[in-house]
Amino acid sequence: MSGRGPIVKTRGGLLVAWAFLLVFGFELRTALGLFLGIDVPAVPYLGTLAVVLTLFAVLADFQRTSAQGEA
Amino acid sequence: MSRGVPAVEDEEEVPGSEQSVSAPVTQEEPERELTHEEFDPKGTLALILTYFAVLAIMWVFMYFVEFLGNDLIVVG
Amino acid sequence: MSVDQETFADRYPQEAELVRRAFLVAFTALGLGALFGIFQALHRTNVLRIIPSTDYYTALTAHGVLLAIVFTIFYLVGLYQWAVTRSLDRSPTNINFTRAWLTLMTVGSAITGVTILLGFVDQIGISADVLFTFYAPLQAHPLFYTGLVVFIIGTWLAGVDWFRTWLHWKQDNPDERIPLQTFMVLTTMIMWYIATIGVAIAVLFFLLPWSLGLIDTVNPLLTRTLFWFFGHPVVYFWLLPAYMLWYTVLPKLAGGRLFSDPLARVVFVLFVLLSTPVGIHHQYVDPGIAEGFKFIAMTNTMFLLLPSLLTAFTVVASMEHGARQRGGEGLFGWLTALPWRDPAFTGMALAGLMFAAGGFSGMINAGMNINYLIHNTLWVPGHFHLTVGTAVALTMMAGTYWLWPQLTNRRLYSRPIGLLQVVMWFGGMALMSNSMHVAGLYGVPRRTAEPQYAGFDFNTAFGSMAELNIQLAVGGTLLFVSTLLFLGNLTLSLGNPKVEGLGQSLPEPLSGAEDSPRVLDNMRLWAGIALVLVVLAYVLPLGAIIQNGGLFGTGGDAYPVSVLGTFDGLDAVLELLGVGR
Repeated sequence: MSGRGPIVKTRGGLLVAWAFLLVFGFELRTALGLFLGIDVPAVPYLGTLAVVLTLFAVLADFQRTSAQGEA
Repeated sequence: MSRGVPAVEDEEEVPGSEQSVSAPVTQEEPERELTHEEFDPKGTLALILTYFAVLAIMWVFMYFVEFLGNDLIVVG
Repeated sequence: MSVDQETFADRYPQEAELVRRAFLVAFTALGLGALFGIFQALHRTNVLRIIPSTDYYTALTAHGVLLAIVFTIFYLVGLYQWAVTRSLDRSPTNINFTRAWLTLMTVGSAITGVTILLGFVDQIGISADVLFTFYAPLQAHPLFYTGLVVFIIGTWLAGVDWFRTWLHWKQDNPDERIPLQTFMVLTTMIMWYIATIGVAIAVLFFLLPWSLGLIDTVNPLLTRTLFWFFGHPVVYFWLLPAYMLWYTVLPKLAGGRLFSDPLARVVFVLFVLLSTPVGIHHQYVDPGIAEGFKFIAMTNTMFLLLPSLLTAFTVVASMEHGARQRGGEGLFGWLTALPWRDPAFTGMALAGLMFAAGGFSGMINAGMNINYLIHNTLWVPGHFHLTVGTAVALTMMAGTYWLWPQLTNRRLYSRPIGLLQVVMWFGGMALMSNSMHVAGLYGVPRRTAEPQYAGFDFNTAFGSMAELNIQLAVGGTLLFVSTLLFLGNLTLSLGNPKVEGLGQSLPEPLSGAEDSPRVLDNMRLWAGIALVLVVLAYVLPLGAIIQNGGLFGTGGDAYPVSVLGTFDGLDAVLELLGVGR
């Protein structure tokens, strides 16, 4: 990682980012469906999205706590 | 989850930057003061332009929806 | 700025008590309204039907009136009482007068509320299943209209109270600019006085006497038009308190200062001028109103987008100022420097974000021809749950997290639960409102208990109706849980001990009032222009309606909405009132 520090500094900020990205990804499916006619199957897509984002959240939180540990 | 009075602090670096009462006690204070002359809302401009770009694209699609066959789907 | 700064409750204990009382009524209405909301969400999606479909309109009327009239407006009067007292640093002229109007409002809403709820009790022939819009020929029990009248008179007196306080302050401070928060209160109330003309006439001269049997018929187009005269500005009555919080409190929460006081004043003046002469944009499909008048309403509505776009700029710029003072850098990176752990901040920020989306669907509604695509479909509730349901309601909840400690001298029970609550509202609303917008485009109707039809399927462009139904139900459930978290958090806060040091000040704007022309503070000028614009927008259409259909319509039966089995609802009502027929 660059010397910029952890991606998230607080758990609260992480929660908001996680929820925001989840909603954004969800709305993307609607945009694809209505504007481009692409039917993205709901459960696989949203399931994967949720799992991936949660994984990123856990990793980001881990990065945060280890950065705090060093600080 | 009550807390007592927070410890009295030294004079804040940034005048008027008192902590929000709904914020966590560990929330960081503002680092610096920006006067009207020093502050240029470029980030706001970036966000607003993004919003307008989204609106413009949506309106382009509306043209297809409203005037060309009324199908909701533009491509495919 | 001493840490032991006194709170609003310390400085103005009686006023704080009245604000708390207003909020108590508001939050009670919120809880009850939310309960009916979840009933509806589960019912119309066929997930779970707890009440019979014949009671759906009772639930829907209760949901609409409790949330969009009682919750929002009681919150407004509480917030505005705080704002006026605080910004003028002055008590009301007569606190008993303040108590009186608050009581009137409470009594009025109780009368109307109980009348609506009695619709669930078939044995009593009193009901008001007329929905939030109470369109004739749907006819409610006279107490419904009576309660509404009493409530509105209460709000008028609230305005009188605030104007009086301001005028006395002005005598003592003759050359000063009106403090921003009071400016916002006064302009909102001018708009309200103009707006309520329509609904007052509709109810006092037509609907109430009609429900009492004093007149036989009404002209439904006339009463609808008078309702929507009021019906559009009422959304700004909901929105402007949220704007007050965004303009005056959110910058502080973000760690910065309001970018421009003059711009805020301009925005509120624009709302005074433009809120009312647009009501016909809710009636694009109404026969009996010429297209020309609808077109004028449409162009006025497009102008009305301007103050909201100005608000987007000013509020985001103020947040950016806070973020950069907190050390944020980069074109977009400053967003991460904002205080996302503060539920008051996050709630307002997410509410503002959702409002941007609601604004887009509002632009669709405003376009006369595109409106036809979504008229009377579920898209419309999708739109207004983003605007009043999130921009307003979520901001009000978020603002409470900040205001409540200053009104009670007690800390919030749990800040993390507060944060969870606002994020859950955001997520739940995204799910529910998205499904409503999409379903509306497919043609799913609104105000319908069972939008499932034999031998007919809605054409979906992607996904399926089953999916959309589940989405709506899940979203609605998240919203209901979020509401419980909010109310629970506040209730438990009452158990916290009183402490000191909870006082909050609001920072000065970057560009102050002194930078703006004095004419902005000329309340009479703006009220005058607003009245002229309203006359221009409404005299001809109303004249045409009356000329074509008469003041009282051309005949037809009332549709009393009591489901009483063998009784005729109206007769039962008249009998109960002891009015002969």
